[in-house]
Amino acid sequence: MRKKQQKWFTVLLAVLLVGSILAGCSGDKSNNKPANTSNPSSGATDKPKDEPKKDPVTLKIELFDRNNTPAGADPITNNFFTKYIQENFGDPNNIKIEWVTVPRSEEVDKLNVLMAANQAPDLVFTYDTQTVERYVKDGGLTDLGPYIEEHGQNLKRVLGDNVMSYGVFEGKQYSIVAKRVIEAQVSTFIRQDWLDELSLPVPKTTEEFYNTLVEFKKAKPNAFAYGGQTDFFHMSPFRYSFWEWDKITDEDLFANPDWVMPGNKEAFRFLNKLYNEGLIDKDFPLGIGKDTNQFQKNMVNSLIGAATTNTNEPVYMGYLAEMTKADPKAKLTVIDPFTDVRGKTPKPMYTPNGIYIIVPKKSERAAEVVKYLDWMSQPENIVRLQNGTEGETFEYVDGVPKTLDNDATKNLLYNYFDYCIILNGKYVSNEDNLLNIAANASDPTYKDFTIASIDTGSKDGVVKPRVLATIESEVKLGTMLKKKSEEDMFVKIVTAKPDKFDVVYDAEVADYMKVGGQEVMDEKKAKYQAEYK
Amino acid sequence: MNTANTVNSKIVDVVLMIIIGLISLLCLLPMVHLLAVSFSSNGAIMAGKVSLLPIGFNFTAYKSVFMHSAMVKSLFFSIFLVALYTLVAMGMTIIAAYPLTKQKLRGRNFFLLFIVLTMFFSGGLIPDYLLMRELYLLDTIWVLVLPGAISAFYLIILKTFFSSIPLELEESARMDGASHFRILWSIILPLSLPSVATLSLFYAVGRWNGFQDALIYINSQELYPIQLKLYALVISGQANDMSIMEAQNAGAPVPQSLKAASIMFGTVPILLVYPFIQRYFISGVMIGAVKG
Repeated sequence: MRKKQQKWFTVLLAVLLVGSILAGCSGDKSNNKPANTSNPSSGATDKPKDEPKKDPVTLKIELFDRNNTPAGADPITNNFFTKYIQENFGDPNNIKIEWVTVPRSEEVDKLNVLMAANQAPDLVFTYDTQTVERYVKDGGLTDLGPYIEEHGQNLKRVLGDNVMSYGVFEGKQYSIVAKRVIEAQVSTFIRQDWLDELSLPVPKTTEEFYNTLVEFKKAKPNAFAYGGQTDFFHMSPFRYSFWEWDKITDEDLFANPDWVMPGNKEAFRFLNKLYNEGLIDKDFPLGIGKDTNQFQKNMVNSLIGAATTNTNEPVYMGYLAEMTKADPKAKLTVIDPFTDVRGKTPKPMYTPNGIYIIVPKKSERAAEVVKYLDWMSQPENIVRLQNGTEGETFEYVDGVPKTLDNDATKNLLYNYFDYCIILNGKYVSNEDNLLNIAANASDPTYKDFTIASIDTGSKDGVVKPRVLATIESEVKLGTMLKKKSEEDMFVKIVTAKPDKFDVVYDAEVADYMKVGGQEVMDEKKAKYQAEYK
Repeated sequence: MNTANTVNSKIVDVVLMIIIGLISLLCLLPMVHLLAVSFSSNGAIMAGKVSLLPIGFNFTAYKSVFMHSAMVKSLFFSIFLVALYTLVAMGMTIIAAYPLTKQKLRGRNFFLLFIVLTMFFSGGLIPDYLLMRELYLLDTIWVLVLPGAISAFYLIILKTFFSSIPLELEESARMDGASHFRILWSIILPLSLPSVATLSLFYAVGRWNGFQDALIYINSQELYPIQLKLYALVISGQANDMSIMEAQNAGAPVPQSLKAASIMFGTVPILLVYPFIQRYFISGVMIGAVKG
């Protein structure tokens, strides 16, 4: 009996002990809360306005970690750029910069956790529009408008009103959007050595392009005459060249799905013809929405005569280099054959907005963030943050900074774009865009190819108009419609038997409109008219 | 009748052998392919010529992996982390599992229920993150060790194994005057070596391969386990989309051979553990320990 009592006593003691530990913990938690937020950030709760000169305030800035630091280079959180920023922006303004690295591939996931836990740095960014929209809806972002008015005049000048307008959500400047320097989307190239071999001219029109493909097919039956990335996106210049642009208003361009544009059917009829004559890869559906490895293999093995890819992709994905290694005669020429009745070569372009820079509502450093971005917009700082040190990593040629080809440059500039976040792409001149294009040609061996593909990729470029209002039906149906367009309809229509083409096209488009296309189009038309009339 | 039986069983054996062989090949071939890729030239890889044998044999990829100080540091950090974690986790699991086998322990079922509950419910990512923050564990090595120090599942396995040890062995030790710790250390643990070794291996492999927690909780580069580095490296291959978004800023993608070499670099150390553990996988230690 006694033993039993003793046991109960022990259990009671244990429970009490555990209870007191738990209580201690929770007490600790509430007591330490202010200290907790101020400790790691060394004075984040200090009011900067009271005594700005005493303790430096800490500004936490997100930094992408791409895990691509070359062996022997300084770490990304302590290199030339971070020191330059600390010395030239931080120290004079009594600000201590703290870099918070986020793995590039997981940026949205990690940002979500940090935002939800109120632990996000003062300056964060993402490429994902939907993420920004969600934060705006949840009230998680600071309206930067007033701060920009006060501290951001340089910034406004560099970005321009058009780019700035992409950061406006629900009528407020919740985000500062980086300027995209290169807006070219896709470009087309052809094997120059095949043309030379068959004594063919460089095709300049759609008709000539077709004739060239027929010749390629005759001469090289194993290869794909027009082999590259046959999908909805990459066929845009081709499709656009068939559209009857004089019948298309801005409102149509904004609201109508591509399928109902005047002339679009003829574009697909032509593509269908190419397919049925064996001029494009019969297996193209396998590459849609998946990786482009097979395409790259075909390129390297010289199995492709002409292709439309993302602008400059052969250079930055490295397969142009491998192709010339495998076949030293191989040479690509950039072409721009898809011509419309007006003689133009219309093609879609990216909008001029890049990464979204945002400040969490919890941050007390919105003014410092804007000051920082404004400091960054000064021409001298843009040059330094994109090119490093004069004489070491770049030199001025005709007043334009040109990076040097040496080890110091490779060890420094491999992630320069992660510091100068207000610009997506190297920006050396606001007068001559060709200079900017040249500055972005990262591989000197293929500089001419890069310049040519960006240049033709932007020729007669079309940017679809936009409205500020959210298109609700598109939020709801957009993903499904996109999938239907790009995976189902595109394949079914292109691979239809020529005599069934009209039936298939009409039926597919009618179905598309029925399952949501019409709904989205009607809402877009209404919103467009509300905003522009 | 008898001969028919043996013939039948032989046929079954052969069929089983073929099936097991095929499954082993399924596991082995990707590794062989990766090994071949890691030694091949980039041109051959991009042209799709490499399958099971290297083409354009070279060591360039391995050279750049071993030259990369951050990669090597990460590897050593991971080895240290796995050793620390396995030690802590095994220690915690043993001292949690052993008392739960004792019939005399009051509230035994309650504790067990409590532990089992955590197998089915968890706080979720953001509450976990907040908890780690409140415990001041963020961005320390302990955040990779302590939260996973006891796996409820392994604890139950170990407890079941402990329970299978005949009570008589323990009673005889007690008669000789052994304390609880003495019994655990000198009787129970030596008899449980196979299961302790197995669970240690599970813990070690789990820690070695895990990177999700480091991704969320760790900011300092020095505390990146090798798997997180590998993950970033391999993902960066889907750079096409990223390059488009970033207006081609992201630069040239990491060569396939370098990726493969890095994966081998990150996989081989943990494979080396198996042979050392193997000798503990022996059964029948307890046969004849208790006489009827």
